[in-house]
Amino acid sequence: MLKALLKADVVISVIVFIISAFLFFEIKKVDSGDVYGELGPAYWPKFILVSLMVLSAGLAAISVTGVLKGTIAGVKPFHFTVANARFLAAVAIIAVYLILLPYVGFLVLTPLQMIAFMYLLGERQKVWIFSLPFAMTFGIVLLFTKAMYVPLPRGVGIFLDISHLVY
Amino acid sequence: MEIWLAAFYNVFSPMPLLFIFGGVMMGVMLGAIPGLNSTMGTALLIPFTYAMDSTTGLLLLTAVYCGGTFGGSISAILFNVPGSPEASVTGFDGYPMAKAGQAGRALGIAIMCSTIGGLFSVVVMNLVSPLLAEVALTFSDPEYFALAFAALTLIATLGGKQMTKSFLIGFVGLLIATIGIDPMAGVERFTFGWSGLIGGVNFIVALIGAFAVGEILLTAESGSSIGGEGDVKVSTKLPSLLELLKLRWTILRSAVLGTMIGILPGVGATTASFIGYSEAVRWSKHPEKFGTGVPEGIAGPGDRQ
Repeated sequence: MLKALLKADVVISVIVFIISAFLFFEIKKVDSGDVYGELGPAYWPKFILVSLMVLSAGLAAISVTGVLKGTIAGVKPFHFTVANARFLAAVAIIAVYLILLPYVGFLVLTPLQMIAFMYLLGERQKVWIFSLPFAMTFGIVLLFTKAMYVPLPRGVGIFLDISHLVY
Repeated sequence: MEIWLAAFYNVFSPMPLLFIFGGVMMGVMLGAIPGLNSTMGTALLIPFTYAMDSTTGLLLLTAVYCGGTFGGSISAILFNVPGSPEASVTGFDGYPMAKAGQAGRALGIAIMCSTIGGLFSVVVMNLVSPLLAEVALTFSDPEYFALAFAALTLIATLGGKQMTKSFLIGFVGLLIATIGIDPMAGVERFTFGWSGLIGGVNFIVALIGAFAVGEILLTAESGSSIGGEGDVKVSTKLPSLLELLKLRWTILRSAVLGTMIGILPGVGATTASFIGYSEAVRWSKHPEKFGTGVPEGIAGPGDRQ
């Protein structure tokens, strides 16, 4: 039974179900019924969330039943490998980038993120690692801010001053 | 007939051809960069067209738009990162084909099908657009709802054997689309007090998150080294006449579907490319091969212009 319950499909289904249930109660705060119209702003989100709960429950049931009947392979023993470490490192780099972006800004943080990713993905030539990220970032900044007038995050404090030197 | 001759004279003069060439090149470059698209390109070029005569200005804007619509396929095929929303389906089979060492062939099929679809729509537009426009203008909210609902049923076609998972992910997509201010009531939904979510989640941002970040994580996990990839050369290989003949029904079907959907106001190339791909799967004798890098999978959505 444990082999069935630890299947990725089951775990993901449970997560989806819990998040859907939370959001269902969250959307009820704006459930104004027919004040704004016949359906109201919460109608479709509620419909989608109920559908998600039903589908996630169904997916979990299919997976558990399949494992118990032997038609679906049970979960294999998990061994933490280098591949898992690389995956987690990639997730961490993306998360740190997103968290720091409003404070450090695009101009300074993006080359650092690119260097980290290039190293993680196996690039070892120092010339490439320390030239391409800066050149690409500079190109992107010029393209987006000067040609397309798309604002990029500037950061705060000294990073704001640095960004003003370029765009 | 005189109108047609005048149009040919205007288009095939040296200066308009130069502007068309430049516009297509610029559009392709814009389309290939995720985050930039042909609509943005045309919007940026509008001030420059004030100094041109109307024919040249229109040709330039049309060329940028058409180039940008195709350009999204380049990054979709080569990196599985669609440069534009409508190119996301092209990557389903284009990227596996590129990974199999046939990136040039995939690009060639995409270029050729995009060109044929574009020319087909131009011919139809010139011949029957006034009649079709009358039908299109009768579309109102119920018809759009029906069309959107029909488009959602495509999940059933694309889902294969894992229907529950497909619909689950489809509903997650719909849930993401409800984030932000409700257009009817003006009420914030799922923003949790964060101003960044008030405007909702941009489609291109969602696409980059789904495709590009997923691809990066997969590459990181698999440990594929990027060292030495600079030596890989990709040259476009246009499909042979025989290959085009094999794809004729897929190309024709998608061209007709793309033109019909494109005529409807508010329904764009993205819906057309998804429906084109879905129909290619449905009519194929080997639907199980889709997603592994088959030419029909690139030709199906490729006619969206």
